[in-house]
Amino acid sequence: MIEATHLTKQYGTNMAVYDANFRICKGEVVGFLGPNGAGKSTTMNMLCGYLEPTWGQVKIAGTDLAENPLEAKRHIGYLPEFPPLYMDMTVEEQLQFACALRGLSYKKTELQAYITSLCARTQIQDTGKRLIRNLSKGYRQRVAVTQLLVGDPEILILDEPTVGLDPRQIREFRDLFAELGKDHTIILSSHILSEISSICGRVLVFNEGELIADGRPAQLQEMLMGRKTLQVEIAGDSAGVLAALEQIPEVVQVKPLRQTQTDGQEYQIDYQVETDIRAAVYHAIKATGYDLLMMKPEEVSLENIYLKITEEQQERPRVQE
Amino acid sequence: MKAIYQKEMRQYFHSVIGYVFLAIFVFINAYYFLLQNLLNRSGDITDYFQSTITLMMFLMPMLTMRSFAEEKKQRTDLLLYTMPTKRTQVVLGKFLAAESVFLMGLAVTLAVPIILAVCGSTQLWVTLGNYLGLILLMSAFIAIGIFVSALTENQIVAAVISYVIIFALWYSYGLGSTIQNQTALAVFSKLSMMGMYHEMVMGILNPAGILLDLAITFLFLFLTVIVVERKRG
Repeated sequence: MIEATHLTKQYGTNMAVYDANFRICKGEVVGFLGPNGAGKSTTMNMLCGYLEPTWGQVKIAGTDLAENPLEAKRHIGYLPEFPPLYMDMTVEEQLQFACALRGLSYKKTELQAYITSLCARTQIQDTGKRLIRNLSKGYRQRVAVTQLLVGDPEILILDEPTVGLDPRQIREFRDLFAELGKDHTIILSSHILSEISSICGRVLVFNEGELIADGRPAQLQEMLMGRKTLQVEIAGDSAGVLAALEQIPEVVQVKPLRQTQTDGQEYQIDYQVETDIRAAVYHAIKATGYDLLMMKPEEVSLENIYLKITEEQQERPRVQE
Repeated sequence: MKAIYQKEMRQYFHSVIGYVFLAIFVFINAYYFLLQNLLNRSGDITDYFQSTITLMMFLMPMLTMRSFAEEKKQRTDLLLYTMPTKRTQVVLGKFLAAESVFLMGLAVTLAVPIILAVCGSTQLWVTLGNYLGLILLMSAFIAIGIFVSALTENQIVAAVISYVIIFALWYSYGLGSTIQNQTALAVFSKLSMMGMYHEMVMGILNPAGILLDLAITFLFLFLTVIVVERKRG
């Protein structure tokens, strides 16, 4: 559905995006993750035809964006970080304008019915005659999402769509995007990591203009952290437990955590990727005669990935332009 | 293009700018007519149009300054350029909308030659020459204003630079006359919009004058398309 080959954007001497290659299939919901200035928005701007790449190629539904931009753009709906809305228009006028830009040739009554149906989907039916300037941030964002759906493009590109919304609105939008994800290909960038991990099946990680990782959140965790983590709770002598666990060859490190109310103690076991040590842990503890009370792999956390990227960035500060 | 045109017209008259433009246009033109024709008992329409041009040189950049500058400031240009619409159509839509607002004001001034014809006499060709000259000249001013507006996101800066370009083109005739070199004088004279306009308002249909205005209009519209396309780069 979307194919980016050697996508590069250079501003003067600054490389905003460098040699990004990825392919997004129909129906995928993909998250763009990375700190500010990592190249997420620039990549999105190139995918939707707002910016022309310095090098590289973007294909949308098999159409080269540079060669046939009008045809390629018919497939894309783009919601930038700042919703592109005219403050002096009413909601209806804004949506009518979007319909006209998309070249939808409805009769007046059909157009009104179409806009009403779109508004119902994003729950803004009661705002049609209101000026956009008078709407709250949440409602403006809803209007922007409604505008995005005009013409029913198959690909939706959303650049930090929930920034500035309150927690309830964020939840509502997340539900909406999850629903849209059922019949659309979606690219979503966000700083809210739970948003990406709850909606996106695949994550592209950007750092300093480079696409450094691409995969499912669980895969990325392993790849970027270089190890997997298992959490266990064991009732028994701490020194004996540590000795038993450290004998397992795949174990990299064992860290004692807090004491539990059930006379046990929690431990964090870091071990090598592409291995599974659960059986080995069970047998090692059983051999000592201690009780294994709990064992669970650490939940995939995009926060860890994000923190790791930003930590690396702080260690290598970029030259300010 | 139709979508952009309708949007622009709506915005001119949703905000005060369309009404303020037309009000100043009509009011000051009526004042000139009163002063130069009615009170002076003069049937010469050329003097009236001469005053109109001076007014329009100040007024026209006010109409065009927001054209692209405001889109950039509000970041609504992202909508225009990510929808399946050609950027050339965006430029033309904006140009035609500004032209339409100007023509609305000009339509009101048709009362002037009618009154002069009824109350006295008027020369048809001179009147037509004046209208044609003014429309061509203002088209060039609008194209210049839209081009400058595409360069900045500050409306005031857009207006000021438009004034500079418009005044430079208008008064290049005067500048040429101060230069002793005959070749330079000839070049400046050919480029002077004022010189060409003066011929037209006397009823002389000089194709060079028409071509100069059309060339300036097309040149600046073309440059606007280039600037807008470069935003992609």
